[in-house]
Amino acid sequence: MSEQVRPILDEAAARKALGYFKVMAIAAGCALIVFAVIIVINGGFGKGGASTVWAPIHGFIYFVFVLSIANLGFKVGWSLQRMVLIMLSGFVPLLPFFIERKVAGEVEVQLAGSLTG
Amino acid sequence: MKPRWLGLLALVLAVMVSFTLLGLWQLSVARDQGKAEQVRATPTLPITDVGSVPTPHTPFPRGGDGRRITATGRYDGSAQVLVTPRLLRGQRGYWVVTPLVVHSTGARLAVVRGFVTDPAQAVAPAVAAEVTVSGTLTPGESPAAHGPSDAAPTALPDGQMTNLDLSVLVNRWPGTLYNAFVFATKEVPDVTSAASPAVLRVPPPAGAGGGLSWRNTAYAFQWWAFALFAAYMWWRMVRDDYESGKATNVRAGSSDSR
Repeated sequence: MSEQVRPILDEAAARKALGYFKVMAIAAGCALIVFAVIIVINGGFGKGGASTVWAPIHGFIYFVFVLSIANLGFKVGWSLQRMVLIMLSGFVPLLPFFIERKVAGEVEVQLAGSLTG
Repeated sequence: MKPRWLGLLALVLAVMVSFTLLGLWQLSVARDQGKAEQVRATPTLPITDVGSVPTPHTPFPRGGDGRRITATGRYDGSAQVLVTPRLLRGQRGYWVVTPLVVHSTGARLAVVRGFVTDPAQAVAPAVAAEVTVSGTLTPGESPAAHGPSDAAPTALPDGQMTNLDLSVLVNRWPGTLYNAFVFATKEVPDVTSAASPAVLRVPPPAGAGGGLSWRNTAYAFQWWAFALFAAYMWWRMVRDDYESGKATNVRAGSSDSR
């Protein structure tokens, strides 16, 4: 194992993780909107129809999104609270898109800092 | 191992246990819904004549459980058997099982005509009457299906049995036998009520099998996936902490982290 410090230790891996996170945040955001639309069309929770098919797919995409958050979080040294909060953002429609912009911006700054520092 | 990690481990274990239970709960929902789906779907299948679903001496047809069928023929009242002990609305009694000689094939079909609490009430219908039975198709019971009853089989009077075991009936009844039996829900004409009003119809049981609802099965696996993920998170955090602790020790207090 390479030696580890709190800030970014492997810049290339962190960049890769960031790309993966961005893709998954957009995917989860879209999946959530589709899910929300289906629920509204069906007229509420617990109704059958298209949500029967989409719900598990959305669940799976969300799971991969959570994996990508952890993957990125460990590489850029986030706290557990921060990771959990970002994971929970996946439950609020539209929020993943804003989180994606915010997180990506912060990590880019951090990456730039680790280059100069 | 720092106390913080132990506390977090307790939290992670709690999360894992609850997620596992939530997964099991979803799995049971999946089973219930699959069953409900099957029960809902089966009655919508068209009512068919018994001749077109199973044929005598062939395996029970796939998807035939719970199928609604009709069969026309004559009861062979002399071969009637009673299956006991059976319960209906909390009462102990007997299933009245009478072979119906199906008109179109000449084979015998075991029909549960109803339920009685006293064997004397199980009056067999007149043989002469042609009758059309509507009912629900069910596969025969296995010999061990109801286990050893408190009344040992040897102690049962003649013409009584503990299971609706078609392999016994095929030897007892002449001719060929359908590898299935029917819970009669209706007879035209109603020869059973005419012969003995005490015979109560036995409602067909809900299908025993049934698939799993795909949505809830997937939910179950997702809960378990998240439970495993929680364990991974904990392990990863402990490892990172240990590794960074080692690293800072080596650097002896070089403060490069904010």
